[in-house]
Amino acid sequence: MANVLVNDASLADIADAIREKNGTEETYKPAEMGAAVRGLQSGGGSSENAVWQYATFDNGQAFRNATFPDDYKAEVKILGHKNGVALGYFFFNSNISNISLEIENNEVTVSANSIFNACQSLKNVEFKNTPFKINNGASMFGNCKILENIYGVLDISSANNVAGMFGKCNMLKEVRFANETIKVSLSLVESNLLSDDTVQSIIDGLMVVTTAQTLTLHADVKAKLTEAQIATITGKNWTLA
Amino acid sequence: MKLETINGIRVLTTSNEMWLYNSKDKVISDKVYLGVNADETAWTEIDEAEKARLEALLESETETTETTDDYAEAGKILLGVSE
Repeated sequence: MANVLVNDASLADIADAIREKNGTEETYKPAEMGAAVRGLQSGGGSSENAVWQYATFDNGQAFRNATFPDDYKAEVKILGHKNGVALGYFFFNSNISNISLEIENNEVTVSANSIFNACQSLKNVEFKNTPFKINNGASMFGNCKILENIYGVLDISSANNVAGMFGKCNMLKEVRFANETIKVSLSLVESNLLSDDTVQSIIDGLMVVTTAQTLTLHADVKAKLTEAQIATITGKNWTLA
Repeated sequence: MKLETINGIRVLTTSNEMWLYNSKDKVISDKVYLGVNADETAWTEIDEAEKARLEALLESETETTETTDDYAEAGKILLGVSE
């Protein structure tokens, strides 16, 4: 192996960069620096999964142009006790893959129109301190074509508009609704991978309605329903299409 | 289009290569289980060509492109809903 002359300032600069990224005050010998660099988490050590706190939701497109490293989990905590508007909060963010959204007071309702619409890399959404109460779910997860899991419980009992809520969610497997909180027509027609538990949560989530509403499921999902499940759906005055 | 009652549930089906369409909810289906008070006349029969035309129309309505106009449109949807 050839020997290369490196000055102290260069080594100190490398060590400073490692300490900056991993948030420690460690000292490093040159032979230890390679391992230290490899030990850095992608996205920047201690800054990974930083929690943003917002006083209210009223911050449209807040994360539209934010750039996140691969597999980064963005944790957003919403403070305050007022109902809010989260119109397009993450709208068209193309690189975020994991989002955790915590709302301090789960009694407030949120207008979630297009909140995640067209997040093309989004795989997992976690709602903490649920149920997450939504009064507008239009296009909420629309065009999230690789979204697989929505963790936490959604309550859409005050929503009159859920058009396109799951449009083009072709990979969706998991989502949960609070019991008897769905009151307007809902479509998951493009989601053929829904788990059995998800399907049961949807059925349990349907309110008994006086004006017939329509639940639209993918043909593959519909074909797996039991007679009892179909009877429950139609018995709540929902048409199953 | 055929309406029959199976296990107490009204079921709409179609013949081969035909589909059921609900213009109010913009839903296309091969088989429909009607809610207890649902009106079966909300459903009409369409052929494959009409299905393709409607799907293309629905596709263009739901596909999102990254423009300010589209975002503004989302805002209109929001503002147009009684909450």
